Amino acid sequence: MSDSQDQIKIVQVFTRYQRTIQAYAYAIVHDMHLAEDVTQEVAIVLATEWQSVAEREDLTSWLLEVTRRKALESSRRSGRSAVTLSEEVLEQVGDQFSAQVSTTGTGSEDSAMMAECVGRLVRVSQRVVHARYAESLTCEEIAAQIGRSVQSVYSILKRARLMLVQCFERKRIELSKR
Amino acid sequence: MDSQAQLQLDESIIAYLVGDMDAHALKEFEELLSASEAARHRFAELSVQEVNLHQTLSLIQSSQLFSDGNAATTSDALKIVAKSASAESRRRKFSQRRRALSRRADSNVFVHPLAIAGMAALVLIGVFLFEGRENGLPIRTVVIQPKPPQPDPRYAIRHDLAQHEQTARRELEKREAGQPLAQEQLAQVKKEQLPALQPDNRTALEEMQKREREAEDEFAREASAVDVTQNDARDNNEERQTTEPKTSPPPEIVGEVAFVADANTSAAQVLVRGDDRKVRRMPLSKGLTIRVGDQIETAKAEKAARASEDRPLHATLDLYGVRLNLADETRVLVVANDKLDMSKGQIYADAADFGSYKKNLAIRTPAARIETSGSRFELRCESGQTFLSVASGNVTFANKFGEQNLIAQRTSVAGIGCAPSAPSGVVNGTIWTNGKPNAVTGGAASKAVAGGVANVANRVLAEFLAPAEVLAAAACAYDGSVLWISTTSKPMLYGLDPTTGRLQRTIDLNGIVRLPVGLAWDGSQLWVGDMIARAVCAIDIATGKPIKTIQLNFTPGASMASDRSNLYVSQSISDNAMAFCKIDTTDGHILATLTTPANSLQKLGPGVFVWGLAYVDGVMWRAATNNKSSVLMTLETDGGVKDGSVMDMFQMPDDAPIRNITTDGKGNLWVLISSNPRKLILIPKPQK
Repeated sequence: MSDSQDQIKIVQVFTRYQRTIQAYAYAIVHDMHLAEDVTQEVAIVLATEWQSVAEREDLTSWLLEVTRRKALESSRRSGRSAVTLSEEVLEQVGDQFSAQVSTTGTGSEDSAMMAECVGRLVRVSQRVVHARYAESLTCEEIAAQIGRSVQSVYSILKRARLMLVQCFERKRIELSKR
Repeated sequence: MDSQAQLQLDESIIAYLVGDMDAHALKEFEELLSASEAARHRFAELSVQEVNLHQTLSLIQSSQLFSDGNAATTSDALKIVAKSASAESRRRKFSQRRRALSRRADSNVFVHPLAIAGMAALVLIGVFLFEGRENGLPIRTVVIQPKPPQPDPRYAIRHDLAQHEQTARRELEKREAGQPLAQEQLAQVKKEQLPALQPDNRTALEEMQKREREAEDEFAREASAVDVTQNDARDNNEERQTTEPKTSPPPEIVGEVAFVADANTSAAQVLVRGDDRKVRRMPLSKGLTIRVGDQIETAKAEKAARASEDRPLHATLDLYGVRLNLADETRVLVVANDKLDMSKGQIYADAADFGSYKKNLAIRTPAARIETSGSRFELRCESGQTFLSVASGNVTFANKFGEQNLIAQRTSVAGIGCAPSAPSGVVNGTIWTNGKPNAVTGGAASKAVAGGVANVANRVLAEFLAPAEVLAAAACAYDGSVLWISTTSKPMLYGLDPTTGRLQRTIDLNGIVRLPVGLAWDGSQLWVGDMIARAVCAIDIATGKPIKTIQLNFTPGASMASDRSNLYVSQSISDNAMAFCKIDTTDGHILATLTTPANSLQKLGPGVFVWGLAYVDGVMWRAATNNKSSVLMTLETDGGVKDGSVMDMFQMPDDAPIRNITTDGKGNLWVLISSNPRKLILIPKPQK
């Protein structure tokens, strides 16, 4: 296979796995910037190791294992390992992320549904969700901005997130009925 | 998995993903994930959703819909994005179908050229790094600076203005050589300095002030129709005068009313505004803006409320970085965003503490002045004396006769003509009693149990923070002289003095219990639950040696109680968090499994956790929390604990998530509050 064909293949593979890799990394590092960095590191590993892994049947498992190692490394560097699941549990959970690869599409439909759901949140929840996910602020920073306690920001965030989950489920069901 | 269990699972996953999970909860969550494939599947699903949410909102952020004027509000922007994303989705589907047809025709793989270009760049970087390493070349490390957090524009403006105000003050102080400053002079200097503000901030400030003026005028028109005080005639005259053209800009807005306790009595709680030589009185209402020079007065508590010792909070003010709870009969004058004069009553102040940034706050009372930054404290003015109790942070408490620096859990009193007393430990829970009354925000739980439910605030018998050595306290038990605490951080029991909270002694459980969770005192020995060994172990507190171990067929949770002959042990989240078992301690048999019906807690809203068991005077108590509001519950009895169903519910003050409860053997309850550090309070068992 020529170099250009390899590159196209790598792009295809990576595009397919990108969201799952990022989600798995996020579940370990709890920070979207760090998760993005991990995703890029995995992309580099995939590119450099391509010749040896291209034909692997268990490419998904391999990619998720690389993600886990890179994310744990990143988590330790950032001092967040205390709030991360143990390596054994993360390994178990990884299998379920493999299953997500086939169900994770390009995400435009999901984005539309998610945007609609965010639009239904009350104003303060929208503000907190936006600060957390779009601006990637920590709860401490958000608390200082909106003049509330950190715990109340966590509460607002968790409540909002739960409502988004429920709204998203409903929308998905509606979509499947169409 | 039923819907309640599903909800609890989602709650746990979200708590983990947003990073609000302590070591104990993490341990339970890990167990749950290990045991259930469905839980793992859901975890993966929600993690992917998290990324989706981030990408969606980043899309909104990057499209700058908030700033280019296409969308008036966040909601509008979201609608536009939702619409465009739907259109994009339809277009993509059409494109996919077209590509599928095209593939059938020529079997070529279609990849978007932009995607190829982007990924090719990534691949080249990868190859470069790889080859660089191979050839022994130095690897260049590119450090990408993270985007600095974007502060709230309003906050930035106020911060900017505050800086200018300080400069102006210093300047004037120089000029006047220590003379008191006139507000007009200050306003003038601030006005002069406005051009020095960032242009964006200035425009935003002007727009914001215009909007708020309009909103306030509208409110004033509505408020003028309300019969508020005997000064109506005078006020009406003054209202008419307001139609005259204004010559000076209105005072600076420094905050808003975040909460007013009771709509029926709000007319008696007033805001007195004295701008432009006129005095207006208006009832406090949620959302009402507060300006420099405003005076807020809360009404006297209703007799009925006083009789039941239920002292509701009257109002909460949000002074952009300072949360101020006002009790009844309190009068506060707003001198500036961070300066208040308080002439009577009680307040509980919570000034934002954001690591490098702490909100400054200065309060003057008839007897003393308080200066602090980023702390929480309670202040009471009574009979010419000022009482200060500090909950967190440092507070300077001074008058011209002396000065004291108070740290957390210290209290002091100053009188007119007397220096502040030396700090002493907080006694009888003054902070709790007055500072955190019920229904601060009227959350779901408050609504659910409002009416016919007693309030436990105002009756705290003891209160202290857990010592620094006690990390992640999970459970407590009282043996009559020592309050024992277990933690999930290490296999150790900590014995505290129940009056001072000081650490008296410890028992090392290494080799006896692997992960101690629940605790219960049965009158002669201390029972400790072991989450890893799935057992309960009786410890002789005199020697610290194990007496007996009972193996369980379920994982014990953090809640345990004893009725002196039987042991009650809750099941962990991975089994059934709503259930607890009655165990015969003589032979270890499970006599009954009792379950609190999930639907009895539905009123508390989503994400309710049940923590704590305490057997007091023949009645079993449980606690439930949604991490914001908490309730204490009694369970039905029929000579003993009947079936786990709820008999009565009692609201706890907000922001006091209960972690565990136990009895003191005298009809009172020790409550372990899940704060950081943990707090312990002793309250009489609530009664209707």
